[in-house]
Amino acid sequence: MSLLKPRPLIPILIKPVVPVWVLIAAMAAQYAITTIGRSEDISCFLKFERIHHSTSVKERIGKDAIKLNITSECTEEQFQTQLTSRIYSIRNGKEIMIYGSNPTNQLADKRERRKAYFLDFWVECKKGATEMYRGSAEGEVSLKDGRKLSVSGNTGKYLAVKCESKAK
Amino acid sequence: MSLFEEYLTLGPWLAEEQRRDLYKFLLKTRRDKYRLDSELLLQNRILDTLFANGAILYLINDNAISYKTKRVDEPAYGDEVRSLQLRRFNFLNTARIRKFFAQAELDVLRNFPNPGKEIEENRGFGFNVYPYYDLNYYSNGRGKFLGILNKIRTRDGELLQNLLAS
Repeated sequence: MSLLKPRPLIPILIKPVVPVWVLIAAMAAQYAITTIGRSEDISCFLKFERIHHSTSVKERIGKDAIKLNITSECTEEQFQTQLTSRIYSIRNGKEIMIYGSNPTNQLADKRERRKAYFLDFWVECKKGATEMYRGSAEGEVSLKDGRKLSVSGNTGKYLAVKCESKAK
Repeated sequence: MSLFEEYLTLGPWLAEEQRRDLYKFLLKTRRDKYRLDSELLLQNRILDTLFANGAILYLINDNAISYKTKRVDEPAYGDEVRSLQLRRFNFLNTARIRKFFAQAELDVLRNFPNPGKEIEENRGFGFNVYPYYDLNYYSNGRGKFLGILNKIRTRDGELLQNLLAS
Protein backbone atom coordinates (compact mmCIF):
# COMPACT_ATOMS: atom_id res chain seq x y z
CA MET A 1 0.00 0.00 0.00
CA SER A 2 1.53 3.27 -1.05
CA LEU A 3 1.58 6.17 1.40
CA LEU A 4 1.76 9.02 -1.03
CA LYS A 5 1.45 12.38 0.59
CA PRO A 6 -1.33 14.44 -1.13
CA ARG A 7 -0.05 17.49 -2.97
CA PRO A 8 -1.38 20.73 -1.55
CA LEU A 9 -3.78 22.48 -3.92
CA ILE A 10 -2.01 25.81 -3.40
CA PRO A 11 1.75 25.66 -3.34
CA ILE A 12 3.21 26.85 -0.07
CA LEU A 13 5.12 29.61 -1.80
CA ILE A 14 2.01 31.53 -2.80
CA LYS A 15 -0.04 30.84 0.30
CA PRO A 16 -0.98 34.14 1.96
CA VAL A 17 1.15 34.83 5.00
CA VAL A 18 -1.11 37.66 6.14
CA PRO A 19 -4.76 36.86 6.81
CA VAL A 20 -7.10 38.11 4.09
CA TRP A 21 -9.10 40.35 6.46
CA VAL A 22 -5.93 42.21 7.47
CA LEU A 23 -5.13 42.78 3.80
CA ILE A 24 -8.61 44.18 3.12
CA ALA A 25 -8.43 46.45 6.18
CA ALA A 26 -5.04 47.78 5.05
CA MET A 27 -6.38 48.52 1.56
CA ALA A 28 -9.40 50.33 2.99
CA ALA A 29 -7.16 52.41 5.26
CA GLN A 30 -4.92 53.29 2.32
CA TYR A 31 -7.97 54.37 0.26
CA ALA A 32 -9.27 56.54 3.10
CA ILE A 33 -5.90 58.23 3.61
CA THR A 34 -5.57 58.92 -0.11
CA THR A 35 -9.11 60.36 -0.33
CA ILE A 36 -8.70 62.63 2.69
CA GLY A 37 -5.33 63.76 1.45
CA ARG A 38 -6.83 64.64 -1.92
CA SER A 39 -9.74 66.66 -0.41
CA GLU A 40 -7.30 68.76 1.59
CA ASP A 41 -5.51 69.65 -1.63
CA ILE A 42 -8.56 71.40 -3.10
CA SER A 43 -8.45 75.13 -2.63
CA CYS A 44 -10.69 77.97 -3.76
CA PHE A 45 -10.03 81.69 -3.86
CA LEU A 46 -11.57 84.95 -5.07
CA LYS A 47 -10.07 87.06 -7.85
CA PHE A 48 -11.06 90.74 -7.80
CA GLU A 49 -10.95 92.94 -10.88
CA ARG A 50 -10.18 96.62 -10.40
CA ILE A 51 -13.25 98.57 -9.37
CA HIS A 52 -14.26 100.58 -12.41
CA HIS A 53 -16.92 102.75 -13.98
CA SER A 54 -19.15 100.33 -15.86
CA THR A 55 -19.52 100.87 -19.56
CA SER A 56 -22.03 98.01 -19.87
CA VAL A 57 -24.39 99.45 -17.25
CA LYS A 58 -24.14 102.87 -18.91
CA GLU A 59 -24.86 101.46 -22.36
CA ARG A 60 -27.72 99.23 -21.30
CA ILE A 61 -29.65 101.30 -18.80
CA GLY A 62 -28.06 104.74 -19.09
CA LYS A 63 -26.87 104.86 -15.49
CA ASP A 64 -23.40 105.75 -14.27
CA ALA A 65 -22.25 103.00 -11.96
CA ILE A 66 -19.22 101.70 -10.12
CA LYS A 67 -18.80 97.96 -10.72
CA LEU A 68 -16.99 95.18 -8.90
CA ASN A 69 -16.36 91.97 -10.85
CA ILE A 70 -15.29 88.88 -8.91
CA THR A 71 -14.32 85.39 -10.01
CA SER A 72 -14.45 82.47 -7.62
CA GLU A 73 -11.89 79.91 -8.73
CA CYS A 74 -11.06 76.46 -7.39
CA THR A 75 -8.32 74.00 -8.21
CA GLU A 76 -11.04 71.45 -9.06
CA GLU A 77 -14.61 71.62 -10.33
CA GLN A 78 -17.13 73.42 -8.18
CA PHE A 79 -20.95 73.33 -8.13
CA GLN A 80 -21.58 76.95 -7.15
CA THR A 81 -20.33 79.87 -5.09
CA GLN A 82 -22.33 81.98 -2.68
CA LEU A 83 -21.04 85.49 -2.07
CA THR A 84 -22.03 88.66 -0.28
CA SER A 85 -20.11 91.65 -1.57
CA ARG A 86 -19.63 95.21 -0.38
CA ILE A 87 -18.26 98.38 -1.90
CA TYR A 88 -16.78 101.04 0.39
CA SER A 89 -15.95 104.66 -0.23
CA ILE A 90 -14.26 107.39 1.78
CA ARG A 91 -16.45 110.40 2.43
CA ASN A 92 -15.52 113.21 4.81
CA GLY A 93 -12.50 111.19 5.87
CA LYS A 94 -14.59 108.22 6.95
CA GLU A 95 -15.01 104.82 5.39
CA ILE A 96 -18.65 104.13 4.55
CA MET A 97 -20.30 101.17 2.88
CA ILE A 98 -22.13 102.40 -0.21
CA TYR A 99 -23.23 99.00 -1.50
CA GLY A 100 -24.05 95.67 0.09
CA SER A 101 -25.29 92.87 -2.11
CA ASN A 102 -27.84 90.30 -1.15
CA PRO A 103 -26.30 86.86 -0.65
CA THR A 104 -25.94 85.69 -4.24
CA ASN A 105 -25.42 82.25 -5.71
CA GLN A 106 -23.57 81.77 -8.95
CA LEU A 107 -23.54 78.34 -10.57
CA ALA A 108 -20.21 77.24 -11.99
CA ASP A 109 -19.36 78.42 -15.46
CA LYS A 110 -20.59 75.92 -18.03
CA ARG A 111 -17.28 75.76 -19.90
CA GLU A 112 -14.88 76.14 -17.01
CA ARG A 113 -16.47 74.32 -14.09
CA ARG A 114 -13.69 75.44 -11.74
CA LYS A 115 -14.91 79.05 -11.95
CA ALA A 116 -18.00 81.10 -11.11
CA TYR A 117 -18.25 84.67 -12.39
CA PHE A 118 -19.99 87.43 -10.43
CA LEU A 119 -20.64 90.27 -12.85
CA ASP A 120 -23.58 92.14 -11.41
CA PHE A 121 -22.33 93.85 -8.28
CA TRP A 122 -22.68 97.56 -9.01
CA VAL A 123 -23.88 100.79 -7.45
CA GLU A 124 -24.83 104.11 -9.01
CA CYS A 125 -22.35 106.96 -8.79
CA LYS A 126 -22.51 110.70 -9.30
CA LYS A 127 -21.52 111.52 -12.88
CA GLY A 128 -18.14 113.23 -13.12
CA ALA A 129 -17.22 112.77 -9.45
CA THR A 130 -13.98 111.06 -8.49
CA GLU A 131 -14.08 109.00 -5.31
CA MET A 132 -11.95 106.42 -3.56
CA TYR A 133 -13.35 102.89 -3.62
CA ARG A 134 -12.51 99.44 -2.39
CA GLY A 135 -14.48 96.20 -2.44
CA SER A 136 -14.71 93.05 -0.42
CA ALA A 137 -16.63 89.79 -0.50
CA GLU A 138 -17.05 86.66 1.53
CA GLY A 139 -18.98 83.44 1.17
CA GLU A 140 -18.51 79.78 0.45
CA VAL A 141 -17.93 77.48 -2.46
CA SER A 142 -19.98 74.29 -2.77
CA LEU A 143 -18.05 71.48 -4.38
CA LYS A 144 -19.71 68.80 -6.49
CA ASP A 145 -19.57 66.26 -3.67
CA GLY A 146 -21.45 68.61 -1.33
CA ARG A 147 -18.50 69.84 0.73
CA LYS A 148 -18.21 73.57 1.35
CA LEU A 149 -15.13 75.77 1.52
CA SER A 150 -15.09 79.34 2.87
CA VAL A 151 -13.75 82.10 0.66
CA SER A 152 -13.17 85.78 1.25
CA GLY A 153 -11.07 88.61 -0.07
CA ASN A 154 -10.88 92.25 -1.05
CA THR A 155 -9.53 94.56 -3.70
CA GLY A 156 -6.75 95.85 -1.47
CA LYS A 157 -6.08 99.54 -0.98
CA TYR A 158 -8.46 102.30 -1.99
CA LEU A 159 -8.46 103.29 -5.64
CA ALA A 160 -9.62 106.60 -7.13
CA VAL A 161 -12.27 106.06 -9.80
CA LYS A 162 -13.95 108.73 -11.87
CA CYS A 163 -17.64 108.25 -12.44
CA GLU A 164 -17.40 108.68 -16.17
CA SER A 165 -16.99 106.53 -19.25
CA LYS A 166 -13.53 106.57 -20.75
CA ALA A 167 -13.42 108.47 -24.06
CA LYS A 168 -13.22 106.12 -27.03
CA MET B 1 -42.22 97.85 -27.26
CA SER B 2 -44.03 98.15 -23.91
CA LEU B 3 -42.23 99.11 -20.72
CA PHE B 4 -42.45 95.52 -19.48
CA GLU B 5 -41.03 94.15 -22.74
CA GLU B 6 -38.20 96.65 -22.48
CA TYR B 7 -37.34 95.37 -19.02
CA LEU B 8 -37.34 91.79 -20.34
CA THR B 9 -34.18 92.73 -22.25
CA LEU B 10 -32.28 94.10 -19.25
CA GLY B 11 -31.62 90.94 -17.22
CA PRO B 12 -28.23 91.30 -15.53
CA TRP B 13 -28.38 95.10 -15.64
CA LEU B 14 -31.39 95.31 -13.36
CA ALA B 15 -30.79 96.75 -9.90
CA GLU B 16 -31.98 94.76 -6.90
CA GLU B 17 -34.95 97.10 -6.29
CA GLN B 18 -36.00 96.77 -9.91
CA ARG B 19 -35.85 92.99 -9.72
CA ARG B 20 -38.03 93.04 -6.61
CA ASP B 21 -40.52 95.34 -8.34
CA LEU B 22 -40.63 93.05 -11.36
CA TYR B 23 -41.28 90.07 -9.10
CA LYS B 24 -44.24 91.88 -7.56
CA PHE B 25 -45.45 92.89 -10.99
CA LEU B 26 -45.33 89.28 -12.21
CA LEU B 27 -47.27 88.14 -9.13
CA LYS B 28 -49.97 90.73 -9.69
CA THR B 29 -50.39 90.41 -13.43
CA ARG B 30 -49.82 86.70 -14.10
CA ARG B 31 -52.05 85.40 -11.34
CA ASP B 32 -54.41 83.51 -13.70
CA LYS B 33 -51.57 81.94 -15.67
CA TYR B 34 -49.85 80.83 -12.47
CA ARG B 35 -53.09 79.31 -11.16
CA LEU B 36 -53.55 77.24 -14.34
CA ASP B 37 -49.88 76.26 -14.41
CA SER B 38 -50.09 75.26 -10.77
CA GLU B 39 -53.02 72.95 -11.47
CA LEU B 40 -51.19 71.39 -14.41
CA LEU B 41 -48.03 70.89 -12.37
CA LEU B 42 -49.81 69.31 -9.41
CA GLN B 43 -51.69 67.01 -11.78
CA ASN B 44 -48.80 65.94 -14.04
CA ARG B 45 -45.88 66.51 -11.66
CA ILE B 46 -43.95 68.08 -14.53
CA LEU B 47 -44.39 71.36 -16.40
CA ASP B 48 -42.30 73.26 -18.89
CA THR B 49 -42.77 76.92 -19.63
CA LEU B 50 -40.96 79.74 -21.40
CA PHE B 51 -40.09 83.16 -20.06
CA ALA B 52 -37.95 85.91 -21.60
CA ASN B 53 -35.16 84.00 -23.40
CA GLY B 54 -35.26 81.00 -21.06
CA ALA B 55 -37.07 77.70 -20.68
CA ILE B 56 -38.09 76.45 -17.25
CA LEU B 57 -38.74 72.85 -16.25
CA TYR B 58 -40.68 72.37 -13.02
CA LEU B 59 -40.73 68.96 -11.36
CA ILE B 60 -42.43 67.55 -8.28
CA ASN B 61 -40.40 64.93 -6.45
CA ASP B 62 -40.67 63.81 -2.81
CA ASN B 63 -43.39 66.39 -2.17
CA ALA B 64 -41.21 69.29 -3.26
CA ILE B 65 -41.24 71.45 -6.37
CA SER B 66 -37.96 72.27 -7.99
CA TYR B 67 -36.98 73.92 -11.21
CA LYS B 68 -34.20 73.72 -13.75
CA THR B 69 -33.64 76.13 -16.56
CA LYS B 70 -31.75 76.77 -19.79
CA ARG B 71 -31.56 79.38 -22.48
CA VAL B 72 -34.15 78.51 -25.12
CA ASP B 73 -31.55 77.57 -27.72
CA GLU B 74 -29.52 75.34 -25.41
CA PRO B 75 -29.94 71.57 -25.75
CA ALA B 76 -30.13 70.51 -22.09
CA TYR B 77 -31.34 71.84 -18.77
CA GLY B 78 -28.78 72.77 -16.15
CA ASP B 79 -28.66 71.87 -12.47
CA GLU B 80 -31.61 72.33 -10.14
CA VAL B 81 -31.80 75.97 -9.04
CA ARG B 82 -34.45 76.21 -6.31
CA SER B 83 -36.92 73.98 -4.55
CA LEU B 84 -40.00 74.47 -2.41
CA GLN B 85 -41.36 71.95 0.07
CA LEU B 86 -45.08 71.42 -0.44
CA ARG B 87 -47.65 71.33 2.35
CA ARG B 88 -49.94 68.40 2.84
CA PHE B 89 -53.10 70.04 1.50
CA ASN B 90 -53.12 71.60 -1.95
CA PHE B 91 -55.17 74.62 -0.91
CA LEU B 92 -52.26 75.62 1.33
CA ASN B 93 -49.90 75.41 -1.63
CA THR B 94 -51.68 77.57 -4.19
CA ALA B 95 -50.24 80.94 -3.14
CA ARG B 96 -46.81 79.45 -2.40
CA ILE B 97 -46.56 77.88 -5.85
CA ARG B 98 -47.58 81.18 -7.49
CA LYS B 99 -44.72 82.92 -5.67
CA PHE B 100 -42.35 80.13 -6.65
CA PHE B 101 -43.31 80.58 -10.32
CA ALA B 102 -42.78 84.35 -10.14
CA GLN B 103 -39.40 83.87 -8.46
CA ALA B 104 -38.32 81.30 -11.05
CA GLU B 105 -39.28 83.64 -13.90
CA LEU B 106 -37.42 86.51 -12.27
CA ASP B 107 -34.32 84.30 -11.87
CA VAL B 108 -34.58 83.36 -15.54
CA LEU B 109 -35.00 86.96 -16.63
CA ARG B 110 -31.86 87.91 -14.68
CA ASN B 111 -29.80 85.36 -16.60
CA PHE B 112 -31.56 84.85 -19.92
CA PRO B 113 -33.05 88.20 -20.97
CA ASN B 114 -34.61 88.75 -24.36
CA PRO B 115 -31.97 89.78 -26.88
CA GLY B 116 -31.39 93.53 -26.75
CA LYS B 117 -28.65 95.65 -28.24
CA GLU B 118 -25.88 93.22 -27.38
CA ILE B 119 -25.53 90.50 -24.81
CA GLU B 120 -22.56 90.36 -22.49
CA GLU B 121 -21.84 86.66 -22.37
CA ASN B 122 -22.49 85.29 -18.92
CA ARG B 123 -22.05 81.55 -18.90
CA GLY B 124 -23.07 80.81 -15.34
CA PHE B 125 -26.37 81.35 -13.61
CA GLY B 126 -26.71 83.87 -10.80
CA PHE B 127 -29.58 84.26 -8.36
CA ASN B 128 -30.38 85.53 -4.90
CA VAL B 129 -29.85 82.93 -2.20
CA TYR B 130 -33.07 83.98 -0.46
CA PRO B 131 -36.13 84.21 -2.71
CA TYR B 132 -38.45 87.21 -2.41
CA TYR B 133 -41.17 85.10 -0.80
CA ASP B 134 -38.84 84.15 2.07
CA LEU B 135 -38.69 86.66 4.93
CA ASN B 136 -34.98 85.86 5.20
CA TYR B 137 -34.57 87.86 1.99
CA TYR B 138 -35.38 91.03 3.92
CA SER B 139 -32.94 90.22 6.71
CA ASN B 140 -30.13 88.75 4.56
CA GLY B 141 -30.55 85.44 6.34
CA ARG B 142 -30.60 86.84 9.87
CA GLY B 143 -34.02 85.43 10.70
CA LYS B 144 -37.67 85.83 9.85
CA PHE B 145 -38.52 88.17 12.70
CA LEU B 146 -36.02 90.77 11.49
CA GLY B 147 -37.27 89.98 7.99
CA ILE B 148 -40.83 91.00 8.89
CA LEU B 149 -39.62 94.28 10.39
CA ASN B 150 -37.53 95.09 7.33
CA LYS B 151 -40.28 94.05 4.94
CA ILE B 152 -42.70 96.49 6.55
CA ARG B 153 -40.14 99.26 6.07
CA THR B 154 -39.46 98.32 2.43
CA ARG B 155 -41.54 100.34 0.01
CA ASP B 156 -42.43 99.43 -3.53
CA GLY B 157 -40.18 101.08 -6.08
CA GLU B 158 -41.03 103.52 -8.81
CA LEU B 159 -40.71 100.79 -11.41
CA LEU B 160 -43.66 98.82 -10.02
CA GLN B 161 -45.89 101.88 -10.22
CA ASN B 162 -44.72 102.62 -13.77
CA LEU B 163 -45.27 99.05 -14.89
CA LEU B 164 -48.76 98.88 -13.39
CA ALA B 165 -49.63 102.22 -14.97
CA SER B 166 -48.36 101.25 -18.44
